[in-house]
Amino acid sequence: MKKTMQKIKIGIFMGILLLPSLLWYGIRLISPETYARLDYDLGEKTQVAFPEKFDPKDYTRKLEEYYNDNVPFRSQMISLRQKLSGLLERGYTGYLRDRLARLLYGDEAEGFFAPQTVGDIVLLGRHDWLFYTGDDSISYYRGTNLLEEEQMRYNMSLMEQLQELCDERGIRLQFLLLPNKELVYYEYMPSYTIENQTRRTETFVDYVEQHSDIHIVYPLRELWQAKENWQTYHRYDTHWNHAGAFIGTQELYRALDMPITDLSSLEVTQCDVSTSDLMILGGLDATQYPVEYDYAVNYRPEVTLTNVSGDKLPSGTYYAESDCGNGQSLVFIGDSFRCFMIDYLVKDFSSSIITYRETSDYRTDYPEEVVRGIRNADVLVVEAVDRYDSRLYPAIQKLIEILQTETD
Amino acid sequence: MLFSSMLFLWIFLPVVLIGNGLLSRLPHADERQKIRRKNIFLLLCSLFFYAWGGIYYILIMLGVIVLDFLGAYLISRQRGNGRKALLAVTVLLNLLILFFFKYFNMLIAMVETLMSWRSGTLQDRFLVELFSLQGTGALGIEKIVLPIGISFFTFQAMSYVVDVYRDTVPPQTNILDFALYISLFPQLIAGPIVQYSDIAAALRCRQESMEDFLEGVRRFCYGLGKKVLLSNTLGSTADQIWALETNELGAGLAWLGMLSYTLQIYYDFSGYSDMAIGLGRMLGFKWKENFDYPYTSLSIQEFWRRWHISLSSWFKNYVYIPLGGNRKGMAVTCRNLVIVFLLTGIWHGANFTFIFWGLMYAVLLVAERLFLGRLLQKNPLKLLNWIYTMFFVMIGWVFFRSDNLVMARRYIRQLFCFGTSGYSVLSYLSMQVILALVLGILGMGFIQRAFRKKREIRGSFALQIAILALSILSIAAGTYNPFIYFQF
Repeated sequence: MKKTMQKIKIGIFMGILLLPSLLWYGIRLISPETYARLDYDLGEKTQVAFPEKFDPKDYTRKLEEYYNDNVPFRSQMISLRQKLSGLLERGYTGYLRDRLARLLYGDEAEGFFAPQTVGDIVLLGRHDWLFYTGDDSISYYRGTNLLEEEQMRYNMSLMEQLQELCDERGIRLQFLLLPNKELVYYEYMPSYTIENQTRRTETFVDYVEQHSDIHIVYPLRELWQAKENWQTYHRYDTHWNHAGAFIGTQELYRALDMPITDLSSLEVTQCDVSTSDLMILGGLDATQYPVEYDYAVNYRPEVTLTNVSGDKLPSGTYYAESDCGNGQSLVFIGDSFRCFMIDYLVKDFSSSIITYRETSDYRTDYPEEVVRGIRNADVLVVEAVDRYDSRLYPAIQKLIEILQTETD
Repeated sequence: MLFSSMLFLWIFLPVVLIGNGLLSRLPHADERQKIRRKNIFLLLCSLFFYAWGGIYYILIMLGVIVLDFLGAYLISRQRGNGRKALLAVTVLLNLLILFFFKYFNMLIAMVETLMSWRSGTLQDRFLVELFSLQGTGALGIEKIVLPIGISFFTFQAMSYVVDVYRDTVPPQTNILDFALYISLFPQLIAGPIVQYSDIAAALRCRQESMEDFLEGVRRFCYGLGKKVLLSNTLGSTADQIWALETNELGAGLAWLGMLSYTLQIYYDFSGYSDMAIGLGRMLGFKWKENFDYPYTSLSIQEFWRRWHISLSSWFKNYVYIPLGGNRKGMAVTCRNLVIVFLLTGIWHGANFTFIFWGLMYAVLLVAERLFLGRLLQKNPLKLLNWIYTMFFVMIGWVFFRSDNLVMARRYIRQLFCFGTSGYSVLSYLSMQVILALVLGILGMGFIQRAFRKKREIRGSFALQIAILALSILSIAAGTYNPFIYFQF
């Protein structure tokens, strides 16, 4: 009896190590339809590719990354983990946190909402709003990471250099900086001490306005105003939504002297949210949070797009031509926030190239059409969200290189 | 390859266990043949395991294997002074390999700082820069990447050579068995440091049983849970707090960071040792314990009898006792303690922080030898002894965790700056962190030690499986996962 029990125990242990893989690959072999249903992705992400080229330095690391990305029942396990951690953290915010705050801070705890992070980089905000703590976002919110004057001067000089080159070529250049979600929806942020009410980007924008002819669009106030009528950022995601993107696009147009459209004058319907990255990053269970919607804006339905190619993914490039009739070509270089603007931009320019900003070498990282497009653009927009503002300047340097070089 | 990775748990480990099990049941083979085949199988698996972390590193390990195998062989055939000279050469070569990979970067950074100081560019910042070990890059020498586990396997190899020299063990005649001793994957990367005399018999003959296998399962599951569920959770909190600028660190947060790291390092390292001992047990090896509830110690001396026992034993057997131990009077004993703990600090890493950490313990141990030990013994309020011990252990971890001495000094200052502003302690708490803190404190050993007098708490099989399953869920969810002790 004892031996049988021991065999059963060993069987259970070995089963946990072996069965998931056997089942997973068995299902794949026997029933590809079931396998396809099980092998779903929890969110939009880049798939890790199988390492084709053998490089002894990092081949095993890449192979392990590939395995981890394709581990049997991965999505199911992540969902289950999210459910468990979601239950725990809901219990904490619901019962324990306020008691702890009162214990630590006494009467001062009234109105105090303790910042609580989950999954290292996701901040649980008031009324179930989620915020991002990665990329030093909280320092942007608290105003503790203002730029030194020397740094601002250097950044501005790069902008001026690019402006000069664009002026010589007859390119209309526009810099677009976008506020972090924490700055727009501050009312849902947990309690933090704000060190400087004028934060890093505002300080920089003011500095540039005072010391040069450069104009930077930074639509913080417009996004605040728009909150009266629209939700402009996703509740469970770091990005703005299609309403926020519309407001931002109109501010860009205002700076470019283009016609402005009021969002309220358009047909706007609710639609499903395409992304909730903070929910996944925080390991939270979406079923325990209120459902969120995005907006579908019926913008200029009369305009027809042609020659559409590329993709709208954060790291991709999107090309389109339209019969809008303004005869202008746009090159828009930015981060993932640009993805929500694409549907509007492509309908207001005769030709558009909208691409990802990051590059170590434009010759290899930017497609040839993008480099050619930059040199021949009528309008060039360079965009960065607050938390990636420091990445803007290497991109500007690359643009300077591109415009200084006639051909490659 | 990490024990707490999906690749290890769902591919490597089942392959090893099934392979080893099948070789144990080979028909038409006697016990000797079975052991031989299993040794070769385990050696191949271990080399694959090590190569996974860096294909080039395996050449270094193979070099150490050949060096020490030949060194010990030649020593065993020599008599007189030649024997001593051979021992010295072999040990020196081992130390050269270890020092080159571990301390070369530190040396270059110091030389660069000195050059910069001589050229007059540093002036009053010389000491700060020197202790920061950042270097200036002036020499243009690329940093050397530390091969994983080198401190562990070179120490194992040296212990074998010294034991052969002392005639306490016969030299191994089969290089494959010796290679298996050095490279056996459960203890290869982060110990425990297994002395050759403890494994020699098992290399020739070992019995496996279902009882042993299940005991191995128990240790492995608890070790994995300690690492994944406790250490990783607390480590994530400690990392976030340590990443803050010191002026944003209130006293409460500084204490939370220190406590989190204190628990993290214990559950990380003892969890790894548990997994190693458990895996060894599943494969038929029985290794000595590496931890014995060190955070329940009532003196620093007791702490070092319970913390990283295999390293303490190594230094005791191969440094402290050969230097005279405590047999030559108090002055020599104190000198020996200082030497041993200076070396312990250096062994842990190429940074002044580790040297300071080692020296701090040397001073405390000397003080306990001289007078403090007697006071502690006579003190009827043992809680004070525990507070004294844990206070210094935790302060020691601040040095251990800090990037440099300057940072450590600032951090310690913040521990006592009460009433300062900064992030709230609550910013870094969540239910999972609170649970990890509570379980971490409860699991430090007071309860286990109290019960051990009657009956050891073993936990049910269902609990072990639940911990295993939860750990796998956490690993699959891609949570935070660095082993602290891999860097040593």
